Amino acid sequence: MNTPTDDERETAALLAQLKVAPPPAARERAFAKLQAEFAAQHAPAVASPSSRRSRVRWAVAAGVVVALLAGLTWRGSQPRDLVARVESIDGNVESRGAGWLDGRDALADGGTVAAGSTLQVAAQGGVLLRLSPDLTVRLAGNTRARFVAADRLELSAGQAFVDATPGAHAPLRIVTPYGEVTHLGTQYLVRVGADTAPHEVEVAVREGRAQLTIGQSQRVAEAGHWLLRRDGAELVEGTIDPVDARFEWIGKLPSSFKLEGATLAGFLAWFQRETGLAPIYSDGVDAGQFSQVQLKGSIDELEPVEALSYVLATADLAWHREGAKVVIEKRRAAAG
Amino acid sequence: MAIDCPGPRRLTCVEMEDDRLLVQRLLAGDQVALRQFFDEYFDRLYRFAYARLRGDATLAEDAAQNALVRALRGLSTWRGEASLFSWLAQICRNEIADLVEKSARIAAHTVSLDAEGQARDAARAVAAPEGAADKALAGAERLKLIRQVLDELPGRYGEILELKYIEEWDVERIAQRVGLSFEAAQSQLQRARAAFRSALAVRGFAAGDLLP
Repeated sequence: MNTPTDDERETAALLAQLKVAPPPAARERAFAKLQAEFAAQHAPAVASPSSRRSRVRWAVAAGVVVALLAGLTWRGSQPRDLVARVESIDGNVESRGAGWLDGRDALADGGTVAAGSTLQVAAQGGVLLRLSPDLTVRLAGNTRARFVAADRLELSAGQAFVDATPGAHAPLRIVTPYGEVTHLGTQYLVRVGADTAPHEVEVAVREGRAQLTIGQSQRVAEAGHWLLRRDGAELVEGTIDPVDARFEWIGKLPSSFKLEGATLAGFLAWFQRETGLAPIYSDGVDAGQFSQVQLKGSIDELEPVEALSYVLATADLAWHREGAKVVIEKRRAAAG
Repeated sequence: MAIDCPGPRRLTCVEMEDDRLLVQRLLAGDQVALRQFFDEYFDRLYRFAYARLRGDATLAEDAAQNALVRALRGLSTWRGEASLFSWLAQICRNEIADLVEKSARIAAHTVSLDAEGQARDAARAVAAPEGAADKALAGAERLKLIRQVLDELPGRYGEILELKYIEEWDVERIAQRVGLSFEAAQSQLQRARAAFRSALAVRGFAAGDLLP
């Protein structure tokens, strides 16, 4: 085996500085995105029928085809109620229309969801759907949900996070196999147990109040509380932090925020809503001025914490996290 | 598929054939090929972008991810005139340029700089006027310089050095990749190191100057 020369050792050390590896989470995100693209390109084709058919069966089949075509033509002429628009999507989310003839499509950014569609979110995926200017629903990975109408969602497995503008009229009823949830405003999570924890429904409220109805009984959960019913047993409740791990996936699907023309105060209010992290200010930072700082540019495709770094940096501010707070402070000179 | 690639570049043809097969499988919807495509190229593109984006991990992730997605969309346009990685790297360069432009736009314009506006005064009032550290860029600038020198080396020297010292391939695998015998690859590696040091010297640096 050759002994490396000084020259080789030095070159190796120099170039080793370029030897960086993406974090595992980055690889997962990237692969999920690639898979979604691949799935969209290679949607399964319609299977062809067997060639072995009797003439009589062919005749019957031809009749059926004619009937189907007529049905398709009729269906095509019917307006479809659109109930939601895709505002943000991560990984693969499959949509299947209400009709038995409807195929499966991969949802894409900017796409729409028609009434009656069933959505299936892949394990690594997620989607943010806007139902109205004042109402969004996020669906987590491994979720199956059907939009019956713009104000009614059937959640059969997985998690949905509802965000309604405080004070706005934005009704939504979430129907699960184990109870129904309605909001009295504004941010809450509904989870229906899947394979690992069947027969349970949980409601966790980050802001405002939500009501869980099971049969004839109703129970309201306030902000910072959760309700859980498992296997038909009594409801149990507890408290939950706004930055609890159960809410973590929501930050990966930010709602859009128009930075151009917004104020720094407005941006921070959006940030808090998206993340549950409340801004506080260190000495020397005059937050009273934030409502006068006008912003320009775009934070499209940035997650809220990334956007926070960009926006604050332009005002020579920085931040760090302390529990459920983000401390906004003056930028310091970095060491080194 | 037969490829007409005579003479000393025979093994490079093997490399091209591998690329072509991979592309054909991807176009046919082969999921295994997708995993192979990702495993082969994501980390390399990430490193490629990382040094060019001054060590910004988030942007590097976006650049590498977007490049692969774009490549997948335009896969049928890859003609096999360059290696698949060269083609991907070109797409990644475009992504990097877009991301840099976008970041600069945000950085330059996020806070309104209308000359007489209240906003600027307000921004000044809430922020420390001095002290933004440039020193922190030193490490990132160093990475960028090393990357630049590597890219500007003649022939395949840059690629050989990258495969050996960044991707950690052994000489035998490099030899196959670039279509040379083992001995020739070793010799090329030695020349590539010398060229790298010369290129640094032209810019006024010794290798030791750029070690952390």
